[in-house]
Amino acid sequence: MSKVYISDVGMTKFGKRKESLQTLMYEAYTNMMISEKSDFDAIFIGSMNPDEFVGDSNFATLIADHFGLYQTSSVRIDNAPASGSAAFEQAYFSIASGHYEKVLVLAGEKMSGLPTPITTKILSKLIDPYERCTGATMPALAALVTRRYMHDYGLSRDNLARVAVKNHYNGTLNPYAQFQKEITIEDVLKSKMIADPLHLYDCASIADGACAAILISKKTDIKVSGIGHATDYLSLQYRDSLTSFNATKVAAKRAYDRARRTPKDIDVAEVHDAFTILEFVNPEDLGFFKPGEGIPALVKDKTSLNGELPINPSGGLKARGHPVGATGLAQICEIVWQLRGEAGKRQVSADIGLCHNIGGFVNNNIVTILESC
Amino acid sequence: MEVSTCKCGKKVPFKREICPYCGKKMTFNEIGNNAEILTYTTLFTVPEGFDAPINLVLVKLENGANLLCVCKNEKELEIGKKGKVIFENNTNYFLGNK
Repeated sequence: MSKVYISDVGMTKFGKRKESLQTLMYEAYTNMMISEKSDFDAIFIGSMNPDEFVGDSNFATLIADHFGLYQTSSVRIDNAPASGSAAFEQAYFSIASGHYEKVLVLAGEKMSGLPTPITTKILSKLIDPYERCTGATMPALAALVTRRYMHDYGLSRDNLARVAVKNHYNGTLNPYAQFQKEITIEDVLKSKMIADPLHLYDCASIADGACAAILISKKTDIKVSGIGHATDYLSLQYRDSLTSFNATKVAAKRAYDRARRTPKDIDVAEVHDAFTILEFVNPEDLGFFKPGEGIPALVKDKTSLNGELPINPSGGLKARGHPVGATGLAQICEIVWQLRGEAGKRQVSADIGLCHNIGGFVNNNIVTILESC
Repeated sequence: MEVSTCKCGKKVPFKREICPYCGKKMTFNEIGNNAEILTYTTLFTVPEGFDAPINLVLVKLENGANLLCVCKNEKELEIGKKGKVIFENNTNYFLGNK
C-alpha cells in the first residue's frame, strides 16, 4: 500500500455567503498556499445535498467544468454530514492503492438560501423514516441523548453550556469561523429553546462554506496515518446505549489500529460538536476519557487551547459553522494548520492530530489521524 | 404492540424482514403496550408540516424494544415514568398510566 500525504489545504470563511457553491469551492481551492495546482488524476467532492439546497445535480461534472479541469475524473460523494471526510477517505484510498498519484478533494455546502423550516425538513431526512413521522429533528434526537446523559452522569445545564462558551472563544481566534464573538453561559441559556434542554447556542448553525485539500503520493510534511469508518443503526430506537455510540468507537479503533496509535498519542482533536452534548459523548467514545469523565475534563480546561488535549481549537462546528458537507474537510484543514504551526493565535503544540466527523445522527462516522513527518 | 423478533433475542418496533442487529430473518408478533420513559424532549423548532411544540419520548416497551413516541401530556415527561403506548394515525403515542 502506498503512503499518502497532504500537500495543501484551504478553505473559505464559513457563514452566510452570497456566492454559488461552485464559486465557494473555487475560493477554497485558490486559498491553498502552495502551488501543486495542476495535473490532478481525479477530483473527489464531498457535498451532502446540492440537489435540494441549491438545485444542482450532476455536481461532479459541474465542478470539473467550473474549474477548467477538462477530462479529469470527478465524483461527488454524499455521506450525510460526513461527506467531507468521506470524500477525503475515498481520495486516500485512490492514492494508497497506487491507482492515482495526486488528487484534489473539495467539500462544501450552501444551506442559507432556503427558509429555516425547509432546511430543517431537508436535514430531518437524515433520520429513520418512522422517527421522522413523529416530527423528530436532529436537535430533537440530540436533546433525547442530552437528557439521558444529564440523568446518568449528573451533567448540569451550566456545564453543558461551557462547551459553547469554550468553542466560541476559540472561534474568536479563527478568521474562517462564522462566529468570532465570545459568549457567556447566560447567553446560551437566554437563547431560544430549540429542543428542551437544548437552546439555539447548543446547536451548530446553518451555514455556507467550502474546503479544499490535495492528497499526493510524494512525501510532504503531513502524513495521513490512519482512517477508520463505521456505521451504527439508522434509528435511535435500536441503539444499545443513548450516551455512547458504536460508530465512533469502531471507527476510532480502526483508525488507531491503522495508524498504530492509541488515544494517548493524540495531541489535538477536532470532534463533531453539532450539538454541545456531543463534545462529551464523542471524546469519551474516542477513548480520550472514560464515560462521564468528559465533564471534569471540560470544567478543568483539559480540552481548552492551553489544556492537555485541546479539542476543537478551530471553534468546532459550534463556532466555525456547519455547512454540512464541508465540515469533515474543515476539520482536516484545521489539524493540518495545527501540525504545521500555521494556526495563528489558536496554535497549540501538536505532532499528531485526530478528526472525528459524524454522518447522520452519530451513525456513519469517520475518524482520520494525521501526523507530522 | 406489533414488533419484529429475532432468534438473536432482539426486538424492534414494526414489521421488519431483516434483523438490524445480526442480519437474520425476523418474525412478526405482538407484545404488550406497557412502557417506561428512557428520555424525553419538547421540540419547539419543527420541520415544515408540523405544529410546535411536540413532546417526544423514547420508551422501553415491556419485553425489550425501544420506541419513539409522541406524548400529548407534558406532565408525563419524566425519566422512569411508566405508561401505555397506542398506535394511531401512523404515530405511536405514550399515554401514561390512564
